[in-house]
Amino acid sequence: MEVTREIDVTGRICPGPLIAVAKEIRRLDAGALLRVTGDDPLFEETILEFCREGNHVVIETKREGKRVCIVLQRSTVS
Amino acid sequence: MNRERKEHLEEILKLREENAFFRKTLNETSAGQELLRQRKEFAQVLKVSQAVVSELDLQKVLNLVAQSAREIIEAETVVVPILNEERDHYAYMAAVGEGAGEFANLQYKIHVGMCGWVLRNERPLLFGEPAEWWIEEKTPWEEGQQSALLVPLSGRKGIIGGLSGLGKKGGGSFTEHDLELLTLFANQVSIAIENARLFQEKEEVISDLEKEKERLAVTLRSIGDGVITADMAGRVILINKVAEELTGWSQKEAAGQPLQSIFHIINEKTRIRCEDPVAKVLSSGKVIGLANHTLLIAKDGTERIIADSGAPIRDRESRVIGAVLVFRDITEKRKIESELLKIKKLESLGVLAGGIAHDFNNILVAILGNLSLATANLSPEDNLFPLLREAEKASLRAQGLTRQLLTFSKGGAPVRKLASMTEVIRDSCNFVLRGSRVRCTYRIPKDLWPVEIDTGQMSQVIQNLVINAVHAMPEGGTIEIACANLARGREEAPTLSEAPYVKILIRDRGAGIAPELIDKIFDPYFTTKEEGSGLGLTVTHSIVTKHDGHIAVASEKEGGTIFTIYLPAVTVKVPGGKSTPRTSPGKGNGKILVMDDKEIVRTVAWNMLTHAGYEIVSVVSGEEAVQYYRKAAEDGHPFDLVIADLTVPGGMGGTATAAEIHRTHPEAKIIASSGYSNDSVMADYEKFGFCGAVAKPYRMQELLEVVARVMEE
Ligand SMILES: Nc1ncnc2c1ncn2[C@@H]1O[C@H](COP(=O)(O)OP(=O)(O)O)[C@@H](O)[C@H]1O
Repeated sequence: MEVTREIDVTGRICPGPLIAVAKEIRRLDAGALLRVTGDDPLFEETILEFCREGNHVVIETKREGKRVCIVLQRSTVS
Repeated sequence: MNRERKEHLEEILKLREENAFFRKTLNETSAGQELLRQRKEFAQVLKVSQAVVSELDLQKVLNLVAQSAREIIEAETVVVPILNEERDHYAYMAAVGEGAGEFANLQYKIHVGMCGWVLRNERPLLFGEPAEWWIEEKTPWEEGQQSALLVPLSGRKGIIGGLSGLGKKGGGSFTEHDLELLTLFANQVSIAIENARLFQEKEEVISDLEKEKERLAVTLRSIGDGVITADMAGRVILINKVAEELTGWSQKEAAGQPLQSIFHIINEKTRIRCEDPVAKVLSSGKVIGLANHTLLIAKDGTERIIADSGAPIRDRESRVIGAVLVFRDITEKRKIESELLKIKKLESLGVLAGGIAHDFNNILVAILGNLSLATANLSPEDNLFPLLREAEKASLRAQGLTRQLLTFSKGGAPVRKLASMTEVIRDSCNFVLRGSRVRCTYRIPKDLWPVEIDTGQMSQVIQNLVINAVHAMPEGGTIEIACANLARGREEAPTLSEAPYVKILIRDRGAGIAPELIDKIFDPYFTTKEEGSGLGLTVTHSIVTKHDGHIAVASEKEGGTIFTIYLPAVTVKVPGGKSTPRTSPGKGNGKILVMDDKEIVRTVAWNMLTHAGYEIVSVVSGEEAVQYYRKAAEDGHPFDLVIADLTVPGGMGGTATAAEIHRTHPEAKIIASSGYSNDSVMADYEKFGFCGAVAKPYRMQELLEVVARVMEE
């Protein structure tokens, strides 16, 4: 499946990345994919928690040094 | 931003520049100088904090805190996360600087993010320069990343939120020195935040209290009783609407006045002023009820009978701090009570009257019977004939009166059966209007619903109303009678139920009833007629009410009166109505046994029936009747008919006699006779084994009709 949107929040600090992701996901259609990359130390756990809360599916998590790249799918239930 | 604060900030900035300058130019500073400088800087932070402390509006405080903090630590953005009451979420209650708008209304669980970490651990956090990095397993800051500086805000009872600086202005990292300053600032302002919070809560409580007070005041004012409260000096504090109406004093005039001057009460009988109830309550500290017969005299002199009570008002410590007086106007209630008393008196009178009427009725039997006989034996040309007719007429009037009294004295429930008002109305009108100059027009729908009525009583109702209408039109005229089905009574009058009713309207074109009299016409003995008894409408009202009906009266301006009766209708199908064919009295033929304990009744019956050609045997008791009947049957000369009195003091009455005779001779024809036309047996004689019923006093026509009909059957 194609990633619809991609954002990079590298260098931004909590809760900046979270706010950015929340904003992006609202623009997506249900089921569409978003890739987000960040390096805030709490980036990964914050985004994963956000997905649990909103029923978004985490498709993939990749780590390259400090940078973490997460692909998530917008929840089909809204 | 107020001037003072601006100045402080400027000073801080200046000091900061100096600080930077020192750092750049001097690698070594003397410890004493450094201390002095830092002290100065801290003093400035304290001053800014004070400006914050003087503000009470929570949101303003938070905004001010965020702004000041941003300036103190030179942050791009400062946000203020505040914990909720349950301490499981935090929300950004204020944000200033870049992208501040994005934080509005954001709320996170306490375990989310750096803010969450600070709030959970109640420790500051510096994501920046080489400093110690507390979140061990996480990667520390690197050049190029946004720096963050967070400190907790602690109130009297633990953590309430935090201050969070995001991004050092111009890039780079927050410093430990920033951390110290922000911590100092946080310690100062957290109290201000907490105070503002408390203040806001207090405001809410106060506004709740005010609303409650308002509600109580409204309740008190709209209470149905008069309420006056007074202070310890007996001066009026509050007087509600009803009390205003009853005393004639308004809250404005009354407030502060001694109770005595607005609550003027006297004894109804002695007219001596009553003791001030509030003074009594205050001196005794007890609840008091007011004596009976208390009259309250209003400002305008209006007098009202009141019932009231007073009670002390106590504070939390149960000390008496005033008194409350509750009272109500019972003038109406008193009226009703005296009305009820009247009815009670009337009832006992009724019992008495009934007793007399019963005997009187028997005497009338003799008079009327003999008059009938005398006229029957006389040619109409005879001189005596008109005299006897007059005597008969007078006796009939007396009979009417006795009948009213008897209905009254019976007092009991009507004996109801399904009937149509159409017949009752037509029969009653014809009866009353015979030989009168008044005519009657009817508008009665064919499908008028039947009603469950005691036809005897209901005829009396119609007769009474029609008689009054005739009296109201001495010159003659027309009475209009109209009936209608009413699907829902309530729609017509509030006193009626939702059920269906039959409505009967009787209208005359007489003089009408004066407005000041219209309330009295149903009162017993109220009459405006020389020969009136004043009982007609009383009885009418009583009968209609006993039928669960309602009667109303209206007098019209241009003259004329309308009486309206509502009776509960039966809307299920009526079984085929039975009507009795009229038989004319012919030459009698047959043997009749008359049982009555009164000699005059027996004599009259004997006279009337022998006059008509029957063979009569009369007996005084039920036992005798049974005996005679059986004997005659055995002898082969049986009786064709028995007329039995229903009430025989101390002996077997008509019903028992009939049952006993029917035991051996089920074919026996027995007629019931009674002075109580509304006796339940009379209304429903067939149920009790009788073939007919005849009311005493006998009128020859009536008696012979019934006898002839039963004989023929
Ligand atoms: N149709 C009517 N028109 C005018 N007045 C009436 C009418 N019916 C009743 N009244 C008034 O009501 C009074 C009471 O009536 P009632 O109880 O029947 O007693 P009575 O007919 O013996 O006076 C009458 O005396 C008369 O003043």
